[in-house]
Amino acid sequence: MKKIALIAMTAAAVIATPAMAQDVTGTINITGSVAKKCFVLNGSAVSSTFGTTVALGELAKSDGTLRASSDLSSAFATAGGSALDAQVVCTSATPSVSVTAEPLANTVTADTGYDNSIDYRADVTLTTVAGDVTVNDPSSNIAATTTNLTSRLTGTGTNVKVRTSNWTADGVLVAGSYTGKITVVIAPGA
Amino acid sequence: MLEVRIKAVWMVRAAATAAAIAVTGIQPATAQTYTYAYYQTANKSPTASLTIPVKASVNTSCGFQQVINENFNVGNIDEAGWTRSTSFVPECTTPWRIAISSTNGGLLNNGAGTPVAGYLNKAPYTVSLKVKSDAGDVNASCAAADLHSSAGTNCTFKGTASMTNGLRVGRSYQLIGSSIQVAAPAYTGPGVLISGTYQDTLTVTVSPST
Repeated sequence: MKKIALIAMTAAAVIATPAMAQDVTGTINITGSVAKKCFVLNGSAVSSTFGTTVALGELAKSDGTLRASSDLSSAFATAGGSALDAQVVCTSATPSVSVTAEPLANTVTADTGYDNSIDYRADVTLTTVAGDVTVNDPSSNIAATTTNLTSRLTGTGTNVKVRTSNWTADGVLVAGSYTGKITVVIAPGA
Repeated sequence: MLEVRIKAVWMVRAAATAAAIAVTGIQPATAQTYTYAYYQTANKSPTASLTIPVKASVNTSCGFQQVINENFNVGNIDEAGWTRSTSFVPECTTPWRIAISSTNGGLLNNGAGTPVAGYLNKAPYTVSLKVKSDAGDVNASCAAADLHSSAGTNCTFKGTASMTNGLRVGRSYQLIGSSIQVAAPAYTGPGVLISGTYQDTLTVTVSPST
């Protein structure tokens, strides 16, 4: 009888073996993408542009010639204030940068000995992970100055600063309004 | 006479063994079965009886009517929100558990390398379960990050299903309406997602439950 009982228990044990183990019953693959792009961050707000209008005031000294370059450079930075600084972020690693400075021009004709155009140099400093990169473009040169960054723009804080230097003009400035423009284009690059 | 008794005992053993073997091969078995062995000796009762209780059960089974195999391309994840869903039909004859694991714990850009401050190479999304059962609907939702092997225990259906791990669901056999949904709003920060392709794999497992 002992043998019988043992055999019966063995049978019961086989039957009571827990059910089938877990099986993989599904696989879900998800893919998405992020395109190359650059944008301006202002806090949490995203935009495609930054900038301001800088009013330099009187450009000439009492003798009619252009104020000192250092004076105008300082005035430009002061008048532009924080609007001359921006945080630009690119999803790509090596953005390209193009800077075009256009002279401050007056539509009034300038006779000999007078000038109706003021040249300067736009100095744009970009802070990258590898360090600062400055792109300088003189307004006397119509073509833009371009460069390809070799590392990513920093992801936090201000990383683009626009300044000016090398202000020049020939002779006495004719009276009137002078307008110019600095255009900075930061693109995702290759 | 002694010889007869020995034979009789042998007969009993053989019958019991046969019954035990038969038990293991029959599903489902029912009630009790009586097996009789006979022997005869002089001046003794002509019969002897042997009772063998037999227990049996039907193995629990648990799976899906059709294996889930989905490939979702959700587009530019930083420009538009996305939602994808897949339905399934459980076939579990007892209470069971379902669990999901995430390979990356989010949509990962493997080619981006280690991101510098302000940038990210992984985007979050949510995994939601809706399971029909005899005991009613079971709903649960977790961040994909909580489905990664390195995550803690925030999610009730993280990992690999077992008798004790996973979201417990009542018996559910061929009930229509169960689904797994993955979704995320357009990613707007904090941080900027690095350009490239993002990817994750969810693995779904089920198991009978204790």
